[in-house]
Amino acid sequence: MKEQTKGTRLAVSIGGFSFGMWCARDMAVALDPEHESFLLASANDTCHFELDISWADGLAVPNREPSFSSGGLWSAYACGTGTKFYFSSPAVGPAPYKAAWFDPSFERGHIVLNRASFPQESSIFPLEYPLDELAMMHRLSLGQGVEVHALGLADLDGRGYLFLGHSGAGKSTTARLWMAQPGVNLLSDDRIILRKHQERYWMYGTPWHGDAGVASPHRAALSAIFLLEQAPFNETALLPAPTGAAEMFARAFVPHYLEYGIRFTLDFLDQITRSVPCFILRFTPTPEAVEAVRYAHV
Amino acid sequence: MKDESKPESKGKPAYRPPQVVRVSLRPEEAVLGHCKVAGVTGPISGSCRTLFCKTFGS
Repeated sequence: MKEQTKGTRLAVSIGGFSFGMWCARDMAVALDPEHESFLLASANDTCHFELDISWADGLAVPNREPSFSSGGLWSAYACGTGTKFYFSSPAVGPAPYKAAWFDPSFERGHIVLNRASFPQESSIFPLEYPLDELAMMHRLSLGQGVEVHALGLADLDGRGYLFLGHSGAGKSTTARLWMAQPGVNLLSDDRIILRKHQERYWMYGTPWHGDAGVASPHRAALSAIFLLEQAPFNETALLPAPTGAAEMFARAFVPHYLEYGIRFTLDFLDQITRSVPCFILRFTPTPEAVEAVRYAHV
Repeated sequence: MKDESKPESKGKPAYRPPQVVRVSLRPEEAVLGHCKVAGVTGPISGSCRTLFCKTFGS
């Protein structure tokens, strides 16, 4: 159920980062249901991301080439004072429905919503996709970690397993296999944030779930990485670390237009795959696939 | 469990020249550009916003 408030402070915590939002007084805001378990109780504390949200009576993209165009919803315009994102959708007309500016460190931002694009009676989640993931992706690329297209979980014995895959690879199917196991804590069946703390790599759950609907605010230490590959049998095969890093990069969310982001992410993934074993998991969706994973990491 | 990280032969491993390994990248997923349900993202309606959040990238 959505809680509707006005002129209020919203704060959520994702991947070890807190997002604090001060919203315009005449703006009806609400969390998406997926974000409710990520809500911060102490909303007034200073957050890692401090965002002001306001209305505009109109928005227009700059009259120059963007630094990057996604080919879809968003374009980025970077300059020395920060990065500005514009969001457009054919469904709501040619004008941007939202713009967001961030400082170079992605610690402060200002989100402006085009009043004409939002029905008056609807409540708004200012970080609505894809802005939430874009902000996270850019902050992580500044030396903080990486978000990957993956299922993450902690097994009964505390071992943390990461299952990487593009759309359709079987992340949600694999999640359902593990849900049937007692004592398993699932973090997300679609998006996992990887970070390093005190010489260990950690998986963080996110609100950005897949078909299995797994969205947990918890984290687990990473013990092994599996690249999902559907097959008529179950088998694991250890990969060379560089191959594992390359396959992870292909399933990572990275600001591809920023050299420093690419460079950091490649280095981060290289470090992970040199310290955490990386396997191909050829699997068929049966409980034996779970045992193949446990056997691979004995 | 197979080990595809090491050569098959015993003893000193044979020299293997560096290889270029191509990996499959899906740009449309990697850049967070689109909803999987084409044309229904953005501030269209409450139900639509809920829908795209549940369908993208799974």
